[in-house]
Amino acid sequence: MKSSIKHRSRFECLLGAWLLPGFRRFYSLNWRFYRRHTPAGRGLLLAMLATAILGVDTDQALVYQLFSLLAALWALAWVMLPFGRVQVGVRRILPPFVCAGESFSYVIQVDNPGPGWQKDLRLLEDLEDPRPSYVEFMAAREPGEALRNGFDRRVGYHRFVWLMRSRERLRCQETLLDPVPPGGRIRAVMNATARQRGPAHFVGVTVARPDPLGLIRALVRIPRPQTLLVLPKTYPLPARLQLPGVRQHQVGGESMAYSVGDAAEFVSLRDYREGDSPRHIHWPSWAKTGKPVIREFREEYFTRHALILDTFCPFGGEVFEEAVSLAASFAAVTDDGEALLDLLFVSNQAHCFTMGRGVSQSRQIQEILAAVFPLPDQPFAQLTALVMHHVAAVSGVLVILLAWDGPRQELVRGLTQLGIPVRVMLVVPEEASGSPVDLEPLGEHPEGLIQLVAGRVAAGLASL
Amino acid sequence: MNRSSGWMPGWIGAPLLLWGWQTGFGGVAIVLAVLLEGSRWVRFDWRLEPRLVHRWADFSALLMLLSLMYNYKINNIESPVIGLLRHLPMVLLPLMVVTAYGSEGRCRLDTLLVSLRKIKDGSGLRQISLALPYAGICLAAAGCSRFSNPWYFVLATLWVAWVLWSVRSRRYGVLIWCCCLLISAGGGWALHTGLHHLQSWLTLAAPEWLSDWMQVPDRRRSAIGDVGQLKLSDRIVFRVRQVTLPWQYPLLLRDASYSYYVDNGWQAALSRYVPLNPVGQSWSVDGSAGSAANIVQVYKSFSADVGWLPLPLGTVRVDDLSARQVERDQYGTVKASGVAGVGSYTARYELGESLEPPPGKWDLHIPKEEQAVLARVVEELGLGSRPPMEVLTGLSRFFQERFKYSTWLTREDEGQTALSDFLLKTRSGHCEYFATATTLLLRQAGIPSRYAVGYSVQEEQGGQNMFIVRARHAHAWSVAYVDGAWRNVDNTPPDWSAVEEQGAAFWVPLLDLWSDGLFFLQQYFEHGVSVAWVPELSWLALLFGLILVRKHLLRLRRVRRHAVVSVEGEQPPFARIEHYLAGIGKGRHPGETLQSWTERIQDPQLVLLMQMYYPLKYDPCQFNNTIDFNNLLHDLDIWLFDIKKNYKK
Repeated sequence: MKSSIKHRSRFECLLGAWLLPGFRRFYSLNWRFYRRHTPAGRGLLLAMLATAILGVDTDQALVYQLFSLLAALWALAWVMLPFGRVQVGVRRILPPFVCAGESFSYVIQVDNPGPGWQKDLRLLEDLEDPRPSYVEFMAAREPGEALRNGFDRRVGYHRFVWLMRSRERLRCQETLLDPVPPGGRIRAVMNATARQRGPAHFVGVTVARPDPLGLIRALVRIPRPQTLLVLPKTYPLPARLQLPGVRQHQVGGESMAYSVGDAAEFVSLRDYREGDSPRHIHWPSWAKTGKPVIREFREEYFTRHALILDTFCPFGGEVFEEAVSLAASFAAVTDDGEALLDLLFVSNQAHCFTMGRGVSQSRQIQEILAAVFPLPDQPFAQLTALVMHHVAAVSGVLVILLAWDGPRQELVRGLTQLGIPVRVMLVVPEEASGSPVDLEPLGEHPEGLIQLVAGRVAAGLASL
Repeated sequence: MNRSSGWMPGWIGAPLLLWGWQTGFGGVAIVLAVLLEGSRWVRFDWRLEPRLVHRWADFSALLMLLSLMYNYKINNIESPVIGLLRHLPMVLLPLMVVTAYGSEGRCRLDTLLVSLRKIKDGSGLRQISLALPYAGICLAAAGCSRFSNPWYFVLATLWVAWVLWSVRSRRYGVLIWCCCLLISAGGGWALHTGLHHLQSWLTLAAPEWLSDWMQVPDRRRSAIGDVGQLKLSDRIVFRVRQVTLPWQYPLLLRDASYSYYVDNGWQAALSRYVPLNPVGQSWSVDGSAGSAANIVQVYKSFSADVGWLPLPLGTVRVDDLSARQVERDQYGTVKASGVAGVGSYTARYELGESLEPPPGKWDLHIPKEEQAVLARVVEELGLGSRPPMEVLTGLSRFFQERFKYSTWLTREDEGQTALSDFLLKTRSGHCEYFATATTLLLRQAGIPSRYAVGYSVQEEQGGQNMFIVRARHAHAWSVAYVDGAWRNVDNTPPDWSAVEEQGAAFWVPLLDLWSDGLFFLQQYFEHGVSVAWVPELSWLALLFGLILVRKHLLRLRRVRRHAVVSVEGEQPPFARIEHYLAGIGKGRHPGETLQSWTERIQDPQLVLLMQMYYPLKYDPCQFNNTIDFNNLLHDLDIWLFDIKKNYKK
């Protein structure tokens, strides 16, 4: 048994292996049914089913005559389907990226190389199959799954539906094409909604042609693979919410800065004063004089901030997505010329984007955040070790956490004890919003922790 | 405002008029058509809150339920679903009117799906137009007629074509569309004619096929050969009143007779039912016009359309039975059709014997695997060459002296048949063993016999010769053909009913009380609209009562929870004020209410606070309790602070 599905019993695994193909087939049939039939065709089939049940006894009522008529219409629509030909070429023109939760439009260029007009055609997008594999289905934990009854938990249909929704990056509407003249070209505007962050893969474009009665459609699939990156949703951040450790009242300018963070060259030595960072002790001088001596550095213009995103949670869900959106919000707006947010700790990797002054790193951070996923089986201590390894290059840290347990408090405590300004954004679910939080790890700056409730993050930020 | 929302003029009116024409509701159909079609021209704006629209939808649902019950109980001519469908255009009228004249012209999904009404803000729910589905229902309802009318198909086709015209593909010409429609209409006509002929042919052919294939269509499984405790319910199945005396005890009411024993079960070999001729509500069972001196009245409510009539052996006539058809097979089993809802009937019978048709070859049939043991027993008892009456006596003595009744079923020798085990080893069993053994032993002794099942009437209740028959009174016995007549032979030890009664549950009297109540109501309404409604209405009333109780309990729990929040385990909010004012001579008298006390003090602010406190105390569900309560406490503190300050001054 794979480690990711260890939390499922053997019975659940067997049941899942037996039921999942059925769920997948049901989804597939449903999807094909909706693409193949027009709304009128769907209504006709529904009426056919009802009249078949009601008219099963031909001696009781004449409803079977209605059934016969509807069945004949439906059968003829199928018979007429092969007659007619669609000969078009398509080209999709996508925006470079979109943000999750936003509706957007893009263009599909349709060419008609044939000799006749192409009328009453509809364009449908073929997106990547969102159906989960067996391991994904068994490993996933639907938020609130523990609250479901035993039958629902074991059967897992709700989990399947939730997985399908969470894997659906885009929802594209079908579009009715204007008539395309022979040898002509038109541009069709397609409307879509970005539902989830991450890369959205287009497989192809389907051109639908109805039968004469307008009940069933012949489908012509044209492969057009393309990818569109859906960036995480972002929130407006309040102006007074500054990153920790921003240096002010600088006398120098950009030209004075040779590097980011504390410059390597120091300008003088002085006696140790209370509150000085132990990192700045000049050990050779202490050895000579017998008392601690501190190095004084040239203060530079830029300060370096690190963003730490907690991805160590058992499964995704609203809280995790809110945390990613929050991280993306900071990445999107922190470009005040005074500080760089160019060091990102996410999952168990560190990413550095020091490319000089500008916003180029913002896009890169958001692209990484678009593809981030939860790490269910790994300890949080990995992240702590990684941060501590890079801590010398950091002026301030913004930590976005999903919980406030021992290992996470240990990270914050360690950073605080090193004298690094820390701001903690704790994203919690609705039901945990009222629970008290131990502020001891923040030392003398308990105001550095901000608690935000999933689902109300925007309101929470606005109230700061 | 666009009330038409996707439907053209006439789309609803035309099928409504067709429905009226087909079903005889012509006047109603015209009114409905005018009412609904007129909504697009009338400027009357009937804007309703979603909550009120839900009420109208619920009203339609209630009408639907009533219509279903009416068709289930009263309308025996056709199936209840077809009857309901015929009424649907009228039943759905409240919902249709409210959506047609509502400002939206559509209805939200939570109007139809009660489960969605839990959503607090339903404004984002999908809205659907009911016009076209309703028109389709009207068209289907118009087909709820048994009488073939070619115009129905023609007019239905025209309406469907009218609707499809609006969704036709502009890719093709009108001529192609018309050709497709005509071909479809022709195909539909051919299909429905073929379907009707197919059903007619199947109706005639199927029984013959089944009969040939199965040999014996009517069968009954027994518990012979099973192991474990046999337990039947204490539920009252029906009641019996012996109208005339002398009373035969216990009276055996036979449901059915069987002739063919195979695989531990009995079957009615090649059973052929023959319809009985009715005279009003009387049905002659033996085919003669004669009568009989003994009368028994059976109060039984049939839940299904077809049912067996429990009758005493020798029944000549069944009176007061409102049934569509009554049939009897060659074994004396009487089956009635169209009896759903029937409350009672009267049977006239000859005591002790029956002049049913003479026995056939199946009445002497003995399975091969049982022949050896039966021959051995008959030889041991010396029954082979004795007169029939002596055989009956000998067998009766054999079972009474050497066997005992038991509901605990065991097997001692798995290698033998269950019947051999019973006759040779265990010698104990329930009535099916005794009846089967008796029947087969009689046949082995040369006497034609049958296996009969039914009920033993033995528990009298309340005098006046009224008896109740419980499910555990179900019984099996033999019917033997002796001296040119059929007679009951019951060799089950007489203490069987006492043994069965031992396991009766302690709540049986309560169930009996409930059943008595129902029976009383049935009798009360015997000459009313329909007695058969009473059980369903009683169950509905019980269900409704349970829902009310549950709702009340939930409300009580909620109130208690809020109450816990409000008192927070501390003293009442006015206690500190009471204590302070008592100290300055303005205390609350014993028995004085808070309201009268605050009014006596004549402090308008305190009166206001008291008025805030009362709703929180007595109707906490209506308020955001915690917030309001904390506000009240805060205001009381301020008031107390002010009063203390003023008093010191």
